[in-house]
Amino acid sequence: MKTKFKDAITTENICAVLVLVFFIAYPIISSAYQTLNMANFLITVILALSLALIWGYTGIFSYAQAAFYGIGGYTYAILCKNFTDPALTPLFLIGGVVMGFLVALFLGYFMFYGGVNDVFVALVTMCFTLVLETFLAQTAGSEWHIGAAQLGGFNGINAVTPLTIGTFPVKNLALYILALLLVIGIYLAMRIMEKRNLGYCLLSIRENRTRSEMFGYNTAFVQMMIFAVSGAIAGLSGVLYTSWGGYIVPSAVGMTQATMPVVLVAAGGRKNPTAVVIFTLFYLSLSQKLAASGSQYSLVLLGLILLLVVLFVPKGIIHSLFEIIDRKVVLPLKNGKAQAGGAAE
Amino acid sequence: MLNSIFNYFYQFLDSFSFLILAVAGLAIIFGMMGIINLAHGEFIMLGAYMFTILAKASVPLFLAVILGALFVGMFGYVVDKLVVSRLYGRPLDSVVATWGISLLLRQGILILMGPSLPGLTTPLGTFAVGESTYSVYRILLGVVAVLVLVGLYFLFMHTKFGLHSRATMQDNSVAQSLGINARRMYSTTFMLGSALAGLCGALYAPTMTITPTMGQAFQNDSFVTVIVGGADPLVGMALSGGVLGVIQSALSLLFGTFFGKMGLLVVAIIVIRVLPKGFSGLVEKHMVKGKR
Amino acid sequence: MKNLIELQHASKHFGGLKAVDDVNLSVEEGALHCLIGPNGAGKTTIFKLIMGIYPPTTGKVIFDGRDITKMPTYRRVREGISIKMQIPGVYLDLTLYDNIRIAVQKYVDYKQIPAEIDRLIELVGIREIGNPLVRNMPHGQQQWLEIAMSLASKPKLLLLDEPAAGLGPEETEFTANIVRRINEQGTTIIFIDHDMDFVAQIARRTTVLHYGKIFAEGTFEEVHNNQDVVNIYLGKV
Repeated sequence: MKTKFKDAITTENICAVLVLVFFIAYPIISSAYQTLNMANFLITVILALSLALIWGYTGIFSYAQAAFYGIGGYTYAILCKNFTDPALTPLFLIGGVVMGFLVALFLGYFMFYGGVNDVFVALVTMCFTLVLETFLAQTAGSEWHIGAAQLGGFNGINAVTPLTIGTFPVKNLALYILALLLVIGIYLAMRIMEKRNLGYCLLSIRENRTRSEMFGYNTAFVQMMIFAVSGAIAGLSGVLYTSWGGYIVPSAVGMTQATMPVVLVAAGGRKNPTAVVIFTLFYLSLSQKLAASGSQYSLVLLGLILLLVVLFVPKGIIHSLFEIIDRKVVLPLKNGKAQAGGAAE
Repeated sequence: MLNSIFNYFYQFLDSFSFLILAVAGLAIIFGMMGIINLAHGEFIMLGAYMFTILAKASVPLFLAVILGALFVGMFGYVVDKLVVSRLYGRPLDSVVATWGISLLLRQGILILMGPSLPGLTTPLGTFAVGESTYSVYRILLGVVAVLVLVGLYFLFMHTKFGLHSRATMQDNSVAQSLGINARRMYSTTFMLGSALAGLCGALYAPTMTITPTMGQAFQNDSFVTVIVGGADPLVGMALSGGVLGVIQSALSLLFGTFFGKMGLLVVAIIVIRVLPKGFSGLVEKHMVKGKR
Repeated sequence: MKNLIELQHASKHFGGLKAVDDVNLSVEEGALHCLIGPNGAGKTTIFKLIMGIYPPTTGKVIFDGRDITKMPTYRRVREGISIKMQIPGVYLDLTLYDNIRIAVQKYVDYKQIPAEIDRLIELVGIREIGNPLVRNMPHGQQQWLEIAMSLASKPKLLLLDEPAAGLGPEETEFTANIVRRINEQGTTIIFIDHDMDFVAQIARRTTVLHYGKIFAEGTFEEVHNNQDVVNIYLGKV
């Protein structure tokens, strides 16, 4: 028991606790506007984690997270427009998540059972996202509708009912709490899974897919299922975003939106969900400040970060920091304690 | 009747040449190094910008095209030296890195040159067949596309460079043990691929609005063509361009350009499922069988 | 003794190249069988056919009386076939324990995983190695690790592709002991190797391959003393 606790003291875990405290304290120390803003950041964290799950844990590099994000959002919006009772919106949230799951399942089946390899997955998912965006942007005419919901072309769907529980609309602080709970839930699920069989299964696929087949792993099935799950999580993120802003537009599925999770995960540290959360927080705050002073440069910053990280810190900035601090500070401290503590272990 | 046939042929040639010219650079780099250059669209854009700037400065159009291509080739050389060469053997990382470059280029050009550049009008005028008018320039582009294919064929099949390229593509380690400098092959290939991208941009510049994001239109289609064509930059690419050209033009004629584009994607997804290595895989099987 | 694995008229063509050409191979249950032959004779290809890494161009693969020709690789592994590859197929960036864990977790209950990892370490005899990062382990130790991993599925048939490659004489003997031990516990083994001392130590039955065809078959002594076999190795045929 004692050793387990000691093993759990890593830079990563300490940071995770600190970040949690920060998130809990944030609404107390900030204005309503800032809290709502942070809720939006948390929604993006969910999207980033969905990519970390497949790219970081399983080695599947996909550009389609934005597509499933959009599918989730559009599904929610379309359902809201067709069935106007706000009390049904939780069902629509589930609908968005399920749609994300199903479409990802379908695409995943096509790819992984077709033996599509790593780089080609990137290509196919990119094409998929592009065509989805093109399709949605073309839907301006009145003939483009699903039931009562006009797809709206470039303008998308507006005035979408926010998520409502009973008669209580989930806005502002309530939305923040919901988003935070979901982030905590997904994060914990990922961290716990890491050490269980599923985590090791994903690891084996990431490290050497063909060899894992020869240890009895049905890799195509696992890849397809984890891809579908990540589609569901991305769809969840999309639903929350649509509820948060009250609208969904085709550019939510665009290449710029698709870049975001890639940058966040690559630069933070794709194999480490804590790093992803921290970096996302840091990056979104920074680019918001930059946008206030001239948005053109935030994209330049994005590009530069990507480039420099891949070249020089391929593990990710935050993840590498965790390791350096572990090596230089935490481990010596732990060993020092052990020597001072004597025979207690 | 003849008019509709010509109409269809024209559409097909238009699709085909767009796909071939757009994909040539990407396919060569991918075939040689397994690297997908996500900045490919931006390289095309740079070619278009260079051409437009030169043409507006009264440089003869033909020369402006050549110079545009060369400029982007040089630029590609620099990119390779600084970035891509460090990522050989790391295809997924190169995807992310080239995406970073693509962002930098798009935003950089936006910041440096504004949201758009006044362009040229399509040169060479029009001609009529029956009741429809067609652009002479686009026919010319079709010819250029075929010339590029023929030129690449000669390059790969009948020159020493081509031989070394094919050897390196087939088996890197064996090629190196025979004295072929793989790194130099890669750099030269990346330069060639970039130059071809620049050529595409320069050629299409007079037909489009010159904006920093104009490369995207080429990029989507070239990716699909590479997926369908597979890793063989010659036959795979030509077959892919041909087949996709037919499909896209047919769908566009019947249902509109949007369905043409959708059709490309659906084909790509089906082809990947049925032929994981694209047309190249099919060709490999048949060509080697044929020899026996 | 019944046949555990059979290849019936199996061929594998790669375009114009006949890597395996109409091979009929049977291995009895409990055998310690060796495949030898010059480089490029088709030995590893036969292993890949048995594992299902690709399908045969013609012919069948019969395992334990069942036609598994169309069965995907992962199902064959769960049916009881396992392999140690020519180039060590281990997870280089993971630790030794994690490697075995990955191999093991499908075949025992969650609670028994640590015990099972232990059992395999004991069985192969690699306890002294500890738990390093596999990338830092020397080649021989990686080979032994991979053998341990290939035993995780408690296979009926184990394929070993060059288990003695790159090993010194002591390590080779260590490996030979492992192979014998595994065979004594009931696992049928087919192995490929070029090290004739190693083969001599353990093989009971030997098949010689040449240009994708079976050239000779018999006990190791019979094959070893066969002048034609010597000739193909010397390149005279």
